[in-house]
Amino acid sequence: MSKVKINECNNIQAQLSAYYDRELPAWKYHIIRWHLKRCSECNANYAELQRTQTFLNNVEPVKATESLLTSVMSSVNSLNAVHKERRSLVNRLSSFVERFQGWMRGNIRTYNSYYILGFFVGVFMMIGVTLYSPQIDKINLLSQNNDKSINKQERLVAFEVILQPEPKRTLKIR
Amino acid sequence: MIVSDEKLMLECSKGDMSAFELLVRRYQDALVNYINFTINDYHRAEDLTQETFLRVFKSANRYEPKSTFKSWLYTIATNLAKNELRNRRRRKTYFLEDMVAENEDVYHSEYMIDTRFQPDILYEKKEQQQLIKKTLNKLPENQRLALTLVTYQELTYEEISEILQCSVGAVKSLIHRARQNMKGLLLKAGIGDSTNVKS
Repeated sequence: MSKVKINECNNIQAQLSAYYDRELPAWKYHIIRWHLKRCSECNANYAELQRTQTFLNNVEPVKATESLLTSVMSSVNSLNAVHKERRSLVNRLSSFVERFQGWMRGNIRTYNSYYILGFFVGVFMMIGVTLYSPQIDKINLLSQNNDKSINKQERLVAFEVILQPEPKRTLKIR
Repeated sequence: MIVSDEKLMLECSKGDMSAFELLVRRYQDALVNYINFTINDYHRAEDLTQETFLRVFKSANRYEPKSTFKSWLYTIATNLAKNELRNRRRRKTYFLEDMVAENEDVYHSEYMIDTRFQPDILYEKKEQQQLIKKTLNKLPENQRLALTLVTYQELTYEEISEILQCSVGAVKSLIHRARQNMKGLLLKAGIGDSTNVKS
C-alpha cells in the first residue's frame, strides 16, 4: 500500500465519527462516502464503529419517576414564596427604577415634543441658578452673623506670613 | 403549535409557572437519563435533575437567549454531575459494581446477598446493558460526557462544545477517541465480537 493511500486512509478514519454523526460539510461527506465504497479497510472500520454504536443505542434510557415533576414544582413554589417574602422595599424600589428606565428607553425619543420642552426648561433652570446664585447668601440666616465672624481671607493671609520661613543668612568668607 | 424552549424560558422569567412546568415535563426524562449515564446512580441522578431545574428557575431572570436553552440546561447539569463525581472521588465512594472483579458476575458476588430481585435482573439483555453501562463508565470523564451527549441526547457537536466549553474540533476528537476506546473495551468485555451481536 502506498504512503499516500495510508495517509488518506488515516485522515478518513479520523473523521469517521463525525461522518457517522453527519457533522461534516457536504463536500467532505461525499468524499468520505466515495472513499468508503472503494476502500475495504476503511469500510470495515466504519462497520465496526456502527456496531459499537448499535450496542450503545441498545441501552434502554431510564425515565424519571412520576414524583419528580411534583417535587420540582413544589420546591420551586416554596422557593418563590420565600423569595416574595424577602423582597424588601429596596428591591421594589430598584425594580421600579429599572422599569422606569425601560419605559424611558422605550417611550422617550429626542424628537418627542415633551422631551424637547423638558430639556429646554432644565437648561434655563440651570442657567438661572448659576447666574443668581450669589443672592442665595442674602436669604441664608447664618450669613447674618458675618460681622462678628473673623474674615476668612485675612486669617489666611496672616497664616501665610507666619508660615513663611526666615531666609537663611550665612556668612561667606572669601 | 410547539412553543420553543427559549420562548417558554422568557415567559418563565416573567413569572409564568406553567411555562416552567412545561419545560420540566419536556426535559425531565432526558436529564435523568443523561445524569444517570454520567454518574451511574439513578436516585442521585434524580436529585441532581431536581437541583438543575431549581438552578434554572433561580437564574431565570438572568437568562438571555444567546445560545439554545438546551445547551444552557445541559451545561448546568454537566457541572452538577462533574461536582458529584469530584465529591465522590474525595469521599472515596465506590459502587458495588466497581468492587466486583472484571469477569465476576455482579449479581452473584458475595456483596449481593439479597437475591429477591435476581429473576428480574438476570435476563440476557439486561445483563448486556449493565455491562455496556459499566464499560461506558470506564471511559475518561470528558469522553464519556461527549459520547453520552451525542448518543443519548442527540445534541450537535456545536452544542456539545458549548456545554463542555471547548472547540468543535476538540469535541470531534473526543467523540472519535471515545468510540475507539469503547470498541476496545467492549471487545475486552466480550460484547463487541461479531459472533456475540445481540440486537
